Amino acid sequence: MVKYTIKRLVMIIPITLVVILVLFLMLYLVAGSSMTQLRIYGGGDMLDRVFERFKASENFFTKYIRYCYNVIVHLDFGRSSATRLRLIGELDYRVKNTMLLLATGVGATLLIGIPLGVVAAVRKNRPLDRIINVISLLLSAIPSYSMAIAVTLILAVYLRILPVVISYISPLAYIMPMITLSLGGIASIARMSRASMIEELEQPYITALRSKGLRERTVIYKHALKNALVPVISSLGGLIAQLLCGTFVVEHFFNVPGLGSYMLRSVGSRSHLEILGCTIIMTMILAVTNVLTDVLYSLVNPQIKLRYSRGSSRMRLPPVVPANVRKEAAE
Amino acid sequence: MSNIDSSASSVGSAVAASDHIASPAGNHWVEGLRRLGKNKVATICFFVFIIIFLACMFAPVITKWDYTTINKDFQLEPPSLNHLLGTDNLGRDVFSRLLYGGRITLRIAVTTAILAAALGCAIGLPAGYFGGRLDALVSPVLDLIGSIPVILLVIVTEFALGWGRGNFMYAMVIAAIPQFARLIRASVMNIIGREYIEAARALGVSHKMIMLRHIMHNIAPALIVRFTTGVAEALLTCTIMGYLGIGINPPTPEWGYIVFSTKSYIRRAPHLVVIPCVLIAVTVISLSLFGDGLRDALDPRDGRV
Repeated sequence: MVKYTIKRLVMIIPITLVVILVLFLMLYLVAGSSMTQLRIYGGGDMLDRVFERFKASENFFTKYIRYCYNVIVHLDFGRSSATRLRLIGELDYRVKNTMLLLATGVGATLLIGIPLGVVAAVRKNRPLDRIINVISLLLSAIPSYSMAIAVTLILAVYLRILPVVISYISPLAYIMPMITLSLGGIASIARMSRASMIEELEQPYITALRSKGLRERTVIYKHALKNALVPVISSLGGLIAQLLCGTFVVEHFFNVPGLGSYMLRSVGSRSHLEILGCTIIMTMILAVTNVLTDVLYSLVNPQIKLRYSRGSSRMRLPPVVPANVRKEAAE
Repeated sequence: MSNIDSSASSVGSAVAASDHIASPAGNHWVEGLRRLGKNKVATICFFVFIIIFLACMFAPVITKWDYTTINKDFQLEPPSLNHLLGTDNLGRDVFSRLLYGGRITLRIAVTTAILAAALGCAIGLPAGYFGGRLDALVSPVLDLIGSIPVILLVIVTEFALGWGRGNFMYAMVIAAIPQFARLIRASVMNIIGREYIEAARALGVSHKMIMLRHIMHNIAPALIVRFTTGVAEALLTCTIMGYLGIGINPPTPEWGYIVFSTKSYIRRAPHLVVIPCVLIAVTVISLSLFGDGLRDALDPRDGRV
């Protein structure tokens, strides 16, 4: 198991290299850089010096390899085109905020969403289930910016619990972004765990446990819940991607100094290095959380644990039709 | 050779005849539609969506106001007979902006879902049917693209390829393909071992015909259900991108962009924000409830209906 985890974590490095290569190709081949502008409008001695200074005349692969080397070995993402400061300082500060939002989002989603789903499943088709269903349907259909507006209006304007605008030095400032981010995730996890719990409660082994005379609580929370959580855990990767999407909107709306708002700003000012840095870090976050999800999944699902302990890492699919038969069928 | 040919054709005609007797063509579709009609919620949702869709598509007929005309004398007007939903901060008619905005939003959402479904079929069908090396090549790529958040993908693609509705839609399609392709691949693998596929193969039906006729017919219900969810998802993504100011350029109204441009006036004219939000939510909810109804109606496994 440990070996598998390490293997998967090491695999992140080639994935990162490929991601950087794709981004580099896209930016290099299609998007024009500020250097192209200089070549058109500038000229003479100054142009040569600028090219020398930014090493702009080097070919694509030299640039790519130097960038990858700097990022992976020195964690150096280059300098900001606007301030000439090292990007890593800015990214470091912003990644902490985004990670904080993501972590509380995932935590709140699981802690509130799963119990809601379980309660709804146990009381299937009763009033409480209906209410939870309607609320989660509404929450999953309302776009996150509308939710942000509603949360601000309710908490800051009508109830006056929190200030509308506040500096991000104060921890109070993170409350509204966190709530907004969690609501969408809670809705989807509640729906998913409800469906999976209902399916589990219809299994014959539950009837067997009930007829054995076990208490209803034991049947539900000790036996059914354990199995119902397996598909929920396998969807954690998707949940994190969904929440990461949410951070863009939430950070943009509440002006949180995070990766999403930085990226949106950099897109506006066409700063390549900032975009590259943000994208690489987000991909890394996703890759690491995906590995962790897979490991967690294999821990709770004995079938998968068995498969990996035998040493085969890929699911073998049943042979469709032998090749010779297929050839005959084609003739 | 001619002997084999004639026997094959006679078997073929026999199959066609038995096919005809056993299940008249399109029977289970009619059956599904009948079940769908009995589901009141799904029917109502379907008509709500159709009304919104048609209203947006026939926007020029319905409203007399132009969505770009600025009128400084009529800023933030309350709803009246002249301006059905009032005017925004620049004196533009909100009702016509919503309808014209819906044209953009719905068109992008539906086109994205159609393209993604078509390409997802083109990728998922062979990958699931042939399996083996092709599948080993395609699946990891699908998993990789599928694990990237949609917004990140759209932003990077837009940034690299340049702004514009076309690039915006390509990026949305790329982001939506994996879900369709994976669903189709999984459903194909589910039915590939069934007897009727084996029978078709034994009769010498070509791979293309098996895929298009026998397999497609059987995974079509799942594909249709996924399509309605796909439209809802694309619609939400589209409005979020519009809100963030990516993909659609300002004079063009887009539901998300309308919310963004009016949200500063929420205290003075709350209806300017509430109505677009409600409209988006109603469209998405009607699509997803209709999708649920479709799934229940077309999926004969549950004996619920």
